[in-house]
Amino acid sequence: MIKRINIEPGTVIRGRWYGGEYRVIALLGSGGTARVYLVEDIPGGDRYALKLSTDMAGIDREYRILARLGPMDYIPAVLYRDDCRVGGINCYFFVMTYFEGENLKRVCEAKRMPPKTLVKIAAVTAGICLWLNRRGVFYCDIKPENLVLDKRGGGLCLVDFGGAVKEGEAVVQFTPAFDRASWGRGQRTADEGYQGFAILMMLAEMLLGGLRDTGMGFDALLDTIDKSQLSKGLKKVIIKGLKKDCQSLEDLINSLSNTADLIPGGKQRRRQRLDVAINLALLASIAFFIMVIAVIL
Amino acid sequence: MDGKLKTPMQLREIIVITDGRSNIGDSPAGAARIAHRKGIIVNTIGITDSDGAEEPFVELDGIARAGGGICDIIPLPRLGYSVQMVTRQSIQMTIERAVSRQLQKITGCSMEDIPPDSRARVLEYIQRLGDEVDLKCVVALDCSGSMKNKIRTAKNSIQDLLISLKARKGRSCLGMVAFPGGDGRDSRVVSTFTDNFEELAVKLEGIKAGGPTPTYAGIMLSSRLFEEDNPRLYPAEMIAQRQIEAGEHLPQGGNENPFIL
Repeated sequence: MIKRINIEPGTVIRGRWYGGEYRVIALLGSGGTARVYLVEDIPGGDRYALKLSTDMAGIDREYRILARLGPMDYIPAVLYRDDCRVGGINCYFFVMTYFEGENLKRVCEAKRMPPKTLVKIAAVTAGICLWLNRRGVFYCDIKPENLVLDKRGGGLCLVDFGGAVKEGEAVVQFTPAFDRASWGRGQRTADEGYQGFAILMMLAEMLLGGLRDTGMGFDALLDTIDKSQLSKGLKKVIIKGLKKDCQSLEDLINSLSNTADLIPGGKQRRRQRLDVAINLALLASIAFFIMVIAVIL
Repeated sequence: MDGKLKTPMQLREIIVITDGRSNIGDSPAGAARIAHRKGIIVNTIGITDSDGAEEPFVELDGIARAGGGICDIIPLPRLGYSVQMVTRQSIQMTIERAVSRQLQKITGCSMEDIPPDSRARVLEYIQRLGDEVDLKCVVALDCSGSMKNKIRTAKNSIQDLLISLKARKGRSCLGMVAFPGGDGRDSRVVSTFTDNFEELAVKLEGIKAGGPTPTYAGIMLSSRLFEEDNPRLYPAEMIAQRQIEAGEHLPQGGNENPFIL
């Protein structure tokens, strides 16, 4: 029977081969057979995120992808990997940097984010994906839960690389609402069109909410977006993008950044500090990606 | 090294989806053992009403053990995810076993006994093979009375499985068996092997829930579906092992494409 591991806070995870020891502080997230824990290393006390699973190949693959990408602001850097035994079961794990902050789903639930910020977030997400694509890694499980607003760095970070594949390969990890195949809009294979669809769906979901049921059908989805209170320009970008599934991420970034500029948002009297910080960070990120693209081209 | 297989290698799988214990006919584990001897992997997925109540599903674990497959117990909303994960992991596991056996022969140790940094290469190879191998899969769906409010989710999960399988590099097709089969039959073939999404969707429409749970009959009919297709069956692990023994697609040193998932 497929076992789902459960570790109590305070438990020490000992590496079998390379001598690492980590004390579990809290559960950060779970999906499939994998668990991600907040841990502190012994004796240093530094905090990391530790991903643990009974799936040897899955852990190995994710570690390999992250190790090859190397340390980078927008993705976790891996530091250590090993085997261990938990409750008599063989487990595999790796340790990575911990982004202190909330994921976008929780942020959106806690407070209403201004549309302008959300559009910028979508543009930055597309930028990070493009950057990864150029390195041969297609990140496909795009959803608010996998985007973390890093409190320390102030930027947007992509976590959970269990669903990253090579271009053209089968997408193995996805959320139906953000998966074009679940909406009957193309194959479940990794390409920029797949990512673009997911990013736009994520944006629509964050802006409007209640779009996670793929049972409503694609036409009803477009209709819901069309009848919403969003600005005309934004609606056009989203609907056009979702319909025309074969667009490049570069075009998507451009049209999203242009739309973001047109959305009023700077005149609110009581802007919260978080918004300002996020906007600044996002602005910097967009500039960075435009620079990256310019350099590549 | 090119990623193409020299001879087509094919894995055969049955996935039994049920929400309870078999209550009519012979032992389902026996049927799974027979199927496994013919080279078919039998996996089971049990749908619980509450997460964690695994006691009634000991039988399913037994079926998966006898059938060389994986058993997963999940609540209904996770069915779609589980069907895909179980399919993928059992492909992976079958190849892993064959490779492990070879490894044991050559080095005397299993994958577990090799440090992670050293086994990475072997795992890369297993993963690639897992995506390239051809797959024939039969879903045996429990259509007893208790499944009534779960049938819609189950149908969607099966359709969605085909979408995912079609995205693989290897060729995949899906067959479908219902137990009981309606009109007093203990099982019936809903669809023979197909990779046509629309065709499968139409055939799935005809499924209705009602009656007892003849799991034995469901597994037996599922394994017969493979026989009609090809009378000569080899155990899946033997096929994989034969390929490896023949030295086909063994990873070669100095492969400078560093990013093989």
